[in-house]
Amino acid sequence: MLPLLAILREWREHPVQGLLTLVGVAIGVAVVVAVDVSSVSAEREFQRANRALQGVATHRVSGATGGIDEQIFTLVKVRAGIRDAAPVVRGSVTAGGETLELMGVDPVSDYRLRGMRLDPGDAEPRPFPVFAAAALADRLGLAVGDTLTLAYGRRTRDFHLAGTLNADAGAALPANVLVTDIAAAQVFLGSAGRLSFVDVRLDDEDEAEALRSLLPPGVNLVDTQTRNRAQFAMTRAFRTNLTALGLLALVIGLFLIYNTVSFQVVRRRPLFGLLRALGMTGNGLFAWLLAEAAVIAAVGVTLGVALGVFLSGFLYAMVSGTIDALYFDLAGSALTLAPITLAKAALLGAGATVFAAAIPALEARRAPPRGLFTRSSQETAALHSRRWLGAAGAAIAAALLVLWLNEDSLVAAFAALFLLILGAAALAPALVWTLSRGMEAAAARMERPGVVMAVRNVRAHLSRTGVATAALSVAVAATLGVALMIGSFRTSVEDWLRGYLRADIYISTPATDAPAFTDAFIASLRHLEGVDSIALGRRLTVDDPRHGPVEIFVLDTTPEGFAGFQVKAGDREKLFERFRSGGAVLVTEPFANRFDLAPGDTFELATDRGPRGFDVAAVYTDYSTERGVMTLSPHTFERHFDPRGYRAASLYLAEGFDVERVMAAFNRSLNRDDTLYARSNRTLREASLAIFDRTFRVTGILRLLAVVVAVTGIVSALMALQLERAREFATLRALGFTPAQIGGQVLGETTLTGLAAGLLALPIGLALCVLLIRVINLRSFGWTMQTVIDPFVVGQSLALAVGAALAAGLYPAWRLRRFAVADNLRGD
Amino acid sequence: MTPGRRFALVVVALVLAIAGARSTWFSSDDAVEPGTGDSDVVDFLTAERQGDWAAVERGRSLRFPRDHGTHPDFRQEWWYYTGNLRTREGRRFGFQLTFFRFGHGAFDEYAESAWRSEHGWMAHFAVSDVENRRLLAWQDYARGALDLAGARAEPFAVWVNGWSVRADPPAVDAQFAATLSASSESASVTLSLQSDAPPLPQGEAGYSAKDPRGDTASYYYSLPNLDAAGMLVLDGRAFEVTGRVWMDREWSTEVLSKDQLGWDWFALRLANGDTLMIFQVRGENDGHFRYAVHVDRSGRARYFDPKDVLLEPVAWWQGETASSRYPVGWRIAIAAANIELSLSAAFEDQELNLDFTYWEGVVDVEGSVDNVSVRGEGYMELTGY
Repeated sequence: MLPLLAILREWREHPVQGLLTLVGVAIGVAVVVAVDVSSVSAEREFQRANRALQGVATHRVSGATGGIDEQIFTLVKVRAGIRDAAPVVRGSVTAGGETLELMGVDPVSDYRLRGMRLDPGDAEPRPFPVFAAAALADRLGLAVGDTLTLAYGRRTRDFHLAGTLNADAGAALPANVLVTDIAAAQVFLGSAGRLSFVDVRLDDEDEAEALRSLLPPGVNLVDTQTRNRAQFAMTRAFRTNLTALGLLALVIGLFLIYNTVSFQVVRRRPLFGLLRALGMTGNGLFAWLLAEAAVIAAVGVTLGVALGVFLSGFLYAMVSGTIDALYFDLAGSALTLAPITLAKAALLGAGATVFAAAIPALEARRAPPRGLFTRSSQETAALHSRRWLGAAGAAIAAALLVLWLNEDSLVAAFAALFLLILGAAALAPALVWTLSRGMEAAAARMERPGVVMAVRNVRAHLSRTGVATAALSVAVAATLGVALMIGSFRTSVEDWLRGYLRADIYISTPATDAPAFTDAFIASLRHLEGVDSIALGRRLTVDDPRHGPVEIFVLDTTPEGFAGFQVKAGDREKLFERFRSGGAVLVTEPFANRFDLAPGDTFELATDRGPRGFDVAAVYTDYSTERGVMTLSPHTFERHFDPRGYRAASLYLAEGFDVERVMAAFNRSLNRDDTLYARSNRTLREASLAIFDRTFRVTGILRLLAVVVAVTGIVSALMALQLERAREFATLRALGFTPAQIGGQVLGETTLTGLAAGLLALPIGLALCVLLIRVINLRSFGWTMQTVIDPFVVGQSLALAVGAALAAGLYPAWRLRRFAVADNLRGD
Repeated sequence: MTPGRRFALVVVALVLAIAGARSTWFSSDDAVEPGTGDSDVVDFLTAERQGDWAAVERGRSLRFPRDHGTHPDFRQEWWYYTGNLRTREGRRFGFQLTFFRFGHGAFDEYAESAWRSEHGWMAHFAVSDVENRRLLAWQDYARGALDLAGARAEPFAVWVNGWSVRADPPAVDAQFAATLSASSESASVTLSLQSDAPPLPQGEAGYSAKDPRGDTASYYYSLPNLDAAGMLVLDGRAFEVTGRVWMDREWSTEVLSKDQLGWDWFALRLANGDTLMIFQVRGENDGHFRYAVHVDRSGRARYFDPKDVLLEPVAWWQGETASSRYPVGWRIAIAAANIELSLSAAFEDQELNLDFTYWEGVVDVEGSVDNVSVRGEGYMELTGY
């Protein structure tokens, strides 16, 4: 029992150190749990939304450019005899300024696929009912029976909330979807005779082939898997990024746990020496230390899981917010604490804790009892080890090798990223050592013994601070890398917008499927006073059986407007002519990346006349969608597709006309019902950047979490170290040093450690930034961008590292003010 | 067969489903439970009639082929095919394919859309596998829009989605010749149907009363003896089958009185070539209303006074999965024609567990007609239990 009593007494007498150890483990675990829970929850919600919208459908019957004749449904159901088939008429509508998706279904066939419970209760049937997820009804402040006025283009109509749909375990309707009867949808959306698509469930490929042979040209049977793959490729990249940030948190969490726990063991070496001297065997000591670590792990993991679940609420809001902005509103907000998350947390927390305790404990077991009273053996061992440098070199080399061997895997890119981080982290102790040697020499020359002492102390404490320093370096480097990447991305987007948005005013319908501009309207636009020329555009989604949804952009523009394309690859010679009347198309970078296209290639796509090949003339920069866009001229479009109206126009003003005044004139004369958006170049640019910022908000939050972990780590490590040095301080006081002088030295030491971490973080951060831009973003989204190094962000990172370390020294320095010299000199 | 609860249940469901897009998702807990108060049903049937539906009156004579088609002026209508089939080796099957139309009115606001429909359609398809003593049943629904479901007189067709009975090309020289076809997840049936006999009007020249006072009635005729030949596929195994099919046709507007609980219906074919159809609408306090018609092999029909028809349940069954207790054995006696029959289910578990639950399946009879012993088979339907 003696060792137990001794250990307990240690804990009682140094509660702060003990607490810091627990906090270290708990925070490390909490971050991993928070990231995991929010990521798993978002994923689950995403799947539930998808399930609600697609049901058990295996295929979708759709037209090349969206929309099919409603008789196709009769063909599918009666002639082909497909029992599980349901038509949908969809449109984007607005309600009180919010854009919602109106989904018209035929309840008597839809229930076989989607199984939504459209239960109107006992109310008297009325026309134009809508059903909504309970979350949406709450958000709109609607109770069953209430009126909801929907707008579609110039039309408005009163619908009423006929019921709410509760999410179940498998499916949850997104909170931006309203479900109504198909007849109501057709009438309101003005699409009588047309369907958006027909969802079907087919048993096998034979059945699919049989149905396909019955469909007229221009109507396709698209495998739902193909659709989903294409549609959610972006989500996958998003999730991978999220997972990577979670892993980063895990690495930092590991560092943190390792540091605090191993420190707790190292710190008590004299006690262990005493126990050994009293006759305890090395194995016995080892067992006691592991048992202690197990207790710390159990308490720390429990606290960490609780804290992590608490944090995940906030994080999930950010993650789902990003998904909402990019895809659809997730109705559910239930957090999912998956068993795998708990297992991960337990394994990570307990594993790291026991491992961290085991290394110094092993050393303590081997060392002769007398040796335990000094700590130099381990410090020196740590210091002179070239193994760390070797490991660092190996990791970095492996990272480069992975990148060189594998050209397009995102997972490989992330693997390389982590190897790089680990390799760089392994350099931290060596760097601190070298740095302190250099400063010591400089200080010695300048005859500043105080500085020399501080610097030497840093080196002397390396075994206790080395890992924390590395953790701080990694965290700061990660935030720096991500911040620089986002900054570079934003600058690239800004530059692109500046070149791309050349017109003065942009007119558009509120939704991509709102009624198109009439010819009369376009003519009036051309004749609006102050308008020099106009360009017209329309985005369409082609439902291609092989590629899934493919976005195309029909652009009727002038040579001046065309010059806004920033061509990355392709022959610029006579490009406009080839585009306008030569059948050539332009594709965006992500598009080229997604379909592996280069100028000169032919891209085959489903059209209203069946599959057709399109000649790719050039690849251009475009950040508007990660799924990519193919741009073609009206001439090319009309050769392969049925004519469609335009839904967007850009106005180029004549010299000397004021944008605001022309917009006002437009709103007065042509936009009387206020059903169209008219935005100036500046507003549109700002709106685009606002979306950009919103998309990256979650990344920012995760970055912040990583920093919190690292700062906690360094603060706890350095603070514990300084608190432990009471006897040393007492000696210094006895020798005549003032509290301020000693405090200064403490702060100097911690600052120097922080500075070392910060300096090391800079090259790692830059390397990360380059890796993120050149490899990860390219592989995730197909975007290339310029690399912009913002000196302010760099300075900020350095300041963060130094500031964190400085903060760690403040409390011990402050405590020195009321320091009982004699008591501490007497020692234990 | 008779109207009553079946029609009522269906109407309620379809009104919920379609009329005015008052939609519901059918699942077992949505179905109106048989044997309970059924206030919804009664309310519906006694409620003010929506729209202007025609009334069933005496004296309207049936005309063909016109009356094979649909009667959209009347609120509800059905086409009922039940058949007893055999493979060459003698393996027995039964099948049922029924089409229901229900008028429910529609919103004028939806006039622009072809999906606006004044009628809802439902179909039931069931196969009784006598050898394995199991019944499989499926249902389907469609709006009366876009030709997803419908019926017409010439050339005859009735269909709900992919299930149909359609007239064969005119070359066939018969009173009635059509192909019946239905396919589900695990069974399909394709049969050529043919009859040389003219339709058999039920009741008074097709006017079929459902209660003694004549408050409720339908137009009703049958084709009792359709020759059937074709293919039945069950769980991927195909059987060549032949047999006899009974077709019932009814249309009406109001058919159920407040005090009526359900009905029992029997369509029997005897080995001597006679056919017999009997139904009773069960009222409260044993106020049953009965009907019977006997057609001998020469085609002469004899209708009986309800008082002369004796129907007595003699065996009951309630399976573990069944929702109710059903009378699956009966004593049937019509003294006026010297008919004495004992009827039993070919197997007991022929309950259709669909949105609407009822018992309908293959039965066997034995007994005597004019003191000559006779055997036979047919179909029985039991509702409101």
